[in-house]
Amino acid sequence: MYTDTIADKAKAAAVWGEYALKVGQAGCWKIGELRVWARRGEREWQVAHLPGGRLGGDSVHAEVPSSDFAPPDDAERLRLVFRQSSPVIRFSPALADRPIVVRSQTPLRLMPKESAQLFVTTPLWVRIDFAGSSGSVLDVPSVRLSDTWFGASTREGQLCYAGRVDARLRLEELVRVPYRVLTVFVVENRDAESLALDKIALPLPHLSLHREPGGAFWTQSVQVQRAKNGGEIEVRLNARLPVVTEHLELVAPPRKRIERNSALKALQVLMG
Amino acid sequence: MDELINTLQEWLSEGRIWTLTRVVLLVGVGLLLAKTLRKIVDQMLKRRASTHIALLTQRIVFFTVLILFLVSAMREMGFNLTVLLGAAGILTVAIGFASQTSMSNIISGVFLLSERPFVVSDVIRVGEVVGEVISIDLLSLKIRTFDNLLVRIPNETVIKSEVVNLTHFPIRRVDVQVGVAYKEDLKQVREVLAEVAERNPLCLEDPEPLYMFQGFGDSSLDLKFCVWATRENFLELKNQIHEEIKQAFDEHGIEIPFPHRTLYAGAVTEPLPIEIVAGRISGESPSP
Repeated sequence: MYTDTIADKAKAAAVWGEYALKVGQAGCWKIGELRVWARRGEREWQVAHLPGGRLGGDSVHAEVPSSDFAPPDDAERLRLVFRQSSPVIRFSPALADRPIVVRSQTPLRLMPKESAQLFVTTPLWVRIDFAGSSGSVLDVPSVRLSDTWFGASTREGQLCYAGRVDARLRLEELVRVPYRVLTVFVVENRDAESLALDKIALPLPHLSLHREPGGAFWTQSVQVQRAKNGGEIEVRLNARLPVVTEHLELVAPPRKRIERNSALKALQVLMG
Repeated sequence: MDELINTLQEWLSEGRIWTLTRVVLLVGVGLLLAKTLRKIVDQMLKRRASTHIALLTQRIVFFTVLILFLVSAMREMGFNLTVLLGAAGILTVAIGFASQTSMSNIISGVFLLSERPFVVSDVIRVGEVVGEVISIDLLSLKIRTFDNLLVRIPNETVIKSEVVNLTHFPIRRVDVQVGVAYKEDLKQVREVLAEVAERNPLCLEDPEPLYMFQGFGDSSLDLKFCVWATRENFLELKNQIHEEIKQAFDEHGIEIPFPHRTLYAGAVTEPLPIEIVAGRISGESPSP
């Protein structure tokens, strides 16, 4: 259905999940650009991570148990103290904590009375926690993204992430990687004027994350409809999952619930 | 002593016990009601208004109710309120003249609260003072500077002077003034600067970085490069971007010149000859 290799799927399925470590053992993980090191002590866990960008690379890899706990000096380190350390460290995928802006390199217009489906992949966030303890220890992106501002002016708008987004009109054209998630963006233009699709802010914090049995990730689809006669742009987060896949399993609920006023306000500026 | 007890007994026997009870009841009920209303106002304004507006409204409600009950209690005790209010009026005028500055500060404080040019925890600049607002009181504004000093500025001064709120909007622009040598290719310089901004994740992609040619300076081509950051990352980006520009210029061999001075003594000036003798440099005056 899409250009996803069996090896990628296997890797994707392998890297997310639980890892049991004995006291004194360490592990090393690589998800996209993110590197994570962890070592279990009797009453503590040491966790270090290096956000993307510095070491490069974009593969998925887990070495458990690894020979040594030797994160580089510029890695961010944490020591977590417990009465008795949990034997299991857990890696779970999550969606971005802010909307991600999809920007077309060449101006994109949706012709009058037309509709289109855009397939967009965005990097996943990595949540790390321990079995038996509440709250996640780390919640970091697998690929480091730039900040950007999305709004009508510098006074009004919202802070988003930008870049490293792959958007295509055909699903087959997308190169799927195990640490990215696919969103189907459906746009309908009922107006007599063409609709500019140069910039779209994907409201990822309001979407839920799902997984195919093979390991590929999907979000709910987002529907945007422009009313007739230059009317308002209506945005709907589709409760239904994309019809292109079946048997999707819910991995994570939305980070933020849609509260009437704030969410509607935020979604008004979905398209710039 | 006996005389005093007798006078008191006479005074109380004239039905004044009941009056005294009513006065105590009025003050007690007034106090209770004022406190209850203050709590209700606090609950109502907690989420809808700022801390200062809530506090001010609470105080107004509390004292209005209490004063009304106190006045009623005084009337019960037989005070002539007309005389009392007249005296209060004269007293107010006298106090008003004596406390002109305080009154001016109070009124300025009310204007500051209603205009809301800043709120508690904003970072502002008033005159030469830059710091975080820690409270907006009736008489003065209190600011904590970044070297951890408490600065008290009278509200009247704040109203009269120019106030810059550094954290009002969610994003801010970092302006970098940079000069490059006259020999440099400005197109390449522009590309290098754009690349530096693109590589830094704190630098916002939108609004796009702004490049401005500012003029032919004494020793350099003067440029201004402006990038945007969130207000939380402003300082970090400001430090990073200067370092990264210098690094990128060094990598690409782009010279950031220091001021040059050329000595010129007229059209016939010839260069000064320099002779190197065994590692030492010695000058020799030109032959006539």
